[in-house]
Amino acid sequence: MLKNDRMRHQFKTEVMSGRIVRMMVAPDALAAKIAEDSGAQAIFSAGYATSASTLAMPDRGISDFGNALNRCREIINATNIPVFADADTGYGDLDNVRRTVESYEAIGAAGIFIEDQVWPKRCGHMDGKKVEPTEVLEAKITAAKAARKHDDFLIMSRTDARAVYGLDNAIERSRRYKAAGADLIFIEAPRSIDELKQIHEAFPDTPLMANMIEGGKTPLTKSEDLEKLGFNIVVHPTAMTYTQAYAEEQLIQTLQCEGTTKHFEDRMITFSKFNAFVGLDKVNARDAQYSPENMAQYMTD
Amino acid sequence: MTLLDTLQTTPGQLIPAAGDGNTFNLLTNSDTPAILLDATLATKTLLAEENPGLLTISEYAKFLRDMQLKKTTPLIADMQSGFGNPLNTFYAAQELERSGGDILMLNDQTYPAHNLERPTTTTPADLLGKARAAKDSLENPATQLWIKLEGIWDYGIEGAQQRMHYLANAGADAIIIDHYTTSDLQALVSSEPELPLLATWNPDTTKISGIAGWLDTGCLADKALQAQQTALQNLLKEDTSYAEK
Repeated sequence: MLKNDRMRHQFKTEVMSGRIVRMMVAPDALAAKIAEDSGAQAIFSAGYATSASTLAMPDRGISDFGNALNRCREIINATNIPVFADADTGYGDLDNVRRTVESYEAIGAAGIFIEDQVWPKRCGHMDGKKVEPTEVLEAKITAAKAARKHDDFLIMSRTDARAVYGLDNAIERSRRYKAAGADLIFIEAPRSIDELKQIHEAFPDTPLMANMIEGGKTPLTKSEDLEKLGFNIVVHPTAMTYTQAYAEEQLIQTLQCEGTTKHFEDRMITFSKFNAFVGLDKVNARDAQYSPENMAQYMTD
Repeated sequence: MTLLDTLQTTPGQLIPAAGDGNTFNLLTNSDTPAILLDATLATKTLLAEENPGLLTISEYAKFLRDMQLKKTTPLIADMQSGFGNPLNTFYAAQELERSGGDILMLNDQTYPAHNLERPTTTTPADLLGKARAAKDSLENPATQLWIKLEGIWDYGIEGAQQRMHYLANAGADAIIIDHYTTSDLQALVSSEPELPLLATWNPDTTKISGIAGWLDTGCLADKALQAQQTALQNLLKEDTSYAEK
């Protein structure tokens, strides 16, 4: 089985297993490799982190399909665990949704979510969100299902209606998105454990995702507790971005103050460890493998 | 069924080249055995330059990914001379396979490759290193590696035969001959090569038997350019006569 097929199948199997899948959002390929190496089951290539890492901009619909697709592709190519993708609103109308699905499937993503916000969208935990009429995402989900080539490429619906019309409306919308073909359901930014319970009660048999964002609207909840609440996927969208930004800020402040990084070295990975982590030995061995001397074996009569 | 299987069943077919989306669309709706996404034509489209050596692997691979979403027949990716040494070729081949190439075409020029009548070619050992690196990088057993030999003018028929033999030892799937005369090609065909033999093609080419397939070098693009030039002249003429009125 080729990698893309294997990753899609692995993700679907894990999501349907009844155990919660922990997905780290990685801002870039290096972060994804670190997450994989540290035991993450899957990676989520998501808008907040991509906007930050590619543009140093907030998640406000400025980063586009091209930025998101390319970042996701880099992450997929750098790792050997499933990568799920944030496809925002599908980046336009139904034709854009078709291209979005075809492109993410072709690069080997395990699936995507599409949301019902008005473009330009906002991070789900920001204020001032607006949502489209339910019919808009219903049609996009139908188009996405029609465009996919593999049943293992999962389509998740995301609604941001909780912030605009309340939880009941968000649940009702998600019922319609499920009827339109969504394989997975994501109701963004519930505000309490009780709301998380209500979501599970509304969708006892459909895989659900919970979003744990530091400083966001949903209370930070342990993965095992979310599993008990009936959630199948938990995603941590900002933790790596915030940690990276914090560490880099601390580093630069130290350097500005002391004129050297000497007293920061104990908080860094070392030169040799980093080179080993990114596979320098393997690349060097590969370089030597194809040397002219080693090709003499093929230069025979 | 691979493209080589198709060409074995019906040998001597023409494989057209595309370097832009319009031509690619035209070809996907036509009865062609495959499409070559030619690097020189792509360079003209993406960079408005004639020299394919200016086009990087990431630029070409992005274009390949966009085109592969539309493909209905096997897609031949132009890996040029591997974008560096064998190590670069390893990663270039991996990237082009991931980007939708069904057949990867590697030439034996030095890096960076050029679109010249008499290009400089690399050593057999370097070419073999690139060929092996490309083969080792491939994930899908169905993906093929075709090698384009461009230096008969330099290393002669014997040199080409030697390279073809070495490449067969190294696991290449087919050989394409470029910059040749009809007698060169006849000499290579009559030597009964170990690998399927293809050749580049233009409207002046004399087709001979024994060639599995013919690779277009941009005939459609040339015709389109001529038509555009005529249209531009007409447009400018109309504009001038309107201004005179």
